[in-house]
Formats: sequence, structure tokens, C-alpha cells
Amino acid sequence: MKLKQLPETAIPGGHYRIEPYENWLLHDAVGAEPHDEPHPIYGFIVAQSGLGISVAELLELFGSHAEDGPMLGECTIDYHRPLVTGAEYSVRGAVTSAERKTGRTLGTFDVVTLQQHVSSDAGQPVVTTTSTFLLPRKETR
Amino acid sequence: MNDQLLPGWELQGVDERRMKMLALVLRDPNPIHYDAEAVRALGLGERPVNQGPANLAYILTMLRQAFPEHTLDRIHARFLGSVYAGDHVIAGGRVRTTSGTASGETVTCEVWLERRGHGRVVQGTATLRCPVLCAPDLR
Repeated sequence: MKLKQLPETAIPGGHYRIEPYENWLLHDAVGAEPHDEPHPIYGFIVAQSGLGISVAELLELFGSHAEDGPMLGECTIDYHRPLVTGAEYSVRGAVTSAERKTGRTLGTFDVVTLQQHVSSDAGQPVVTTTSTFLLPRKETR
Repeated sequence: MNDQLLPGWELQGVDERRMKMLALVLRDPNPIHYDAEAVRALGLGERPVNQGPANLAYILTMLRQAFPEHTLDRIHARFLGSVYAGDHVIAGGRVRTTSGTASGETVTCEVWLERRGHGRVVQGTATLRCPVLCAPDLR
């Protein structure tokens, strides 16, 4: 996949349900007191995990692999409606930009921005996330 | 309330076992979160690297405690550095602007996560809505 083709690439999209026990485990994993309402970081998790492809497959789409040391550079989460446990959410996403850069720390790397839209089963917007990934490249293409 | 510091939220010793649990919940295959050898091989240090969403979650937990009745509208974060297993981290924030309406206030906060001894590793902005008097400890 060429870098300039990434913004034209379709991502399948999928579904995600926040199970109450996963919400409990998530709270514990980030050191927070368990809470019935989903932890607000689920805005990111639902968008990522419900995208219809795994993180590994997403990185592969970007021409990267976990072993390359990919990093999350920036993230914006817009909350339109409260997230609830047990509800089924639909997720769709698209790459909005992709460019190559060079820096002192990472050397040559790609900056890929992904926007994801989370909707309720009634089609109402719930969360929008915009994530920027930094993908180190050992070689230029 | 402008420029008011929010009560900090601390985690003394980021737990490697919790990072492994989060890798499962996130289905994140990146070995730097669970395999110290992979971290060394990439030249990133000696200890597993905490997940970016976990670092952001600490800030969100801080906001939930500072504004118990709030509705979060937006958070934007830049990830400036890594947090490693065993690190002591402190999530903090400061109110920057407030604007009132009949139903409550919209509050914009500068937020951050500090890795103790190493400075800020996450820097961002959060916008939330509060019913009137939702955060009496800040007044």
C-alpha cells in the first residue's frame, strides 16, 4: 500500500458492545475504582475495537507492524451522547491524512490520521475519535 | 474558578500485570506493553511501556473525581513521552475558561499526565459541562 493511497482506503467497520465485566476489568486495569458507567476511555476503545479489523490488521493496512514500534501521537475524543454498557454500537472509520516526515528521535516515520465514528443502533452519533499514529520506517519506499 | 488547579490523581507504581490485562481488553498486540525483551530490542528502555490509552484514562479518571456530575464533551491529548512499568504518575489539570448558562457551566481545562521525575508525558485540553454547583470544592 502506497502512503498516498491510504486516505482512499476503505476500512470495513464493525460493531462493539461494552460488557459490564469488561468495564469492571478496564477500570481495574487503569487503576480506577469500579463504576457502573463505562470509563470515558471507552470512547477510544469502542472506536478502536469496533472498527472491524484488529490493531494488527490496522497496522498492516498502514504498512506497519507491532514490532516496528508504532506510537499514538495525538488523540481527540468528541462525546456526543453517553456510552452505556450492554448497548450495541456501530463503528466506521477512514484515514483522513497520511504523510512522511523525518525527525531526530524517530528518523523517517509516517504520520497517519484515522477518524472513527461510533453510532448507536438507532444511528445516532455517540462518539467521534481522531487518532494520529506515528509509524517509524526503517527504509523509505 | 479560572486558573484553579484541579485535585491531582496519582498512581504509585504502574503495574505491569495491569498493562497485560489492558493489552487483552484492547486486543493490542504490540509486545512493548508486555515483553521487556521486546522493549530492549527496540532500544526503548528496560521495562514494558504503558499503553497510550491508559495514560489518557488516568487524566479522565482525574476529571471524573474533580467534577463528579460532569458531562464530558471533548478531550484532546498529545502524547509527549512514555510511561514505564513501575513509574509513579500524577494526572493534573487547571481550569482555563468557564462560561455559564441557565443549565450550568461549560468548563475548559488544561490537563496533563506527569511522570514523576521526568516531566509531562501527556498534555491536552478537556471541555466539559457541569450543572450549577457541581464542583463545590473548586469554588
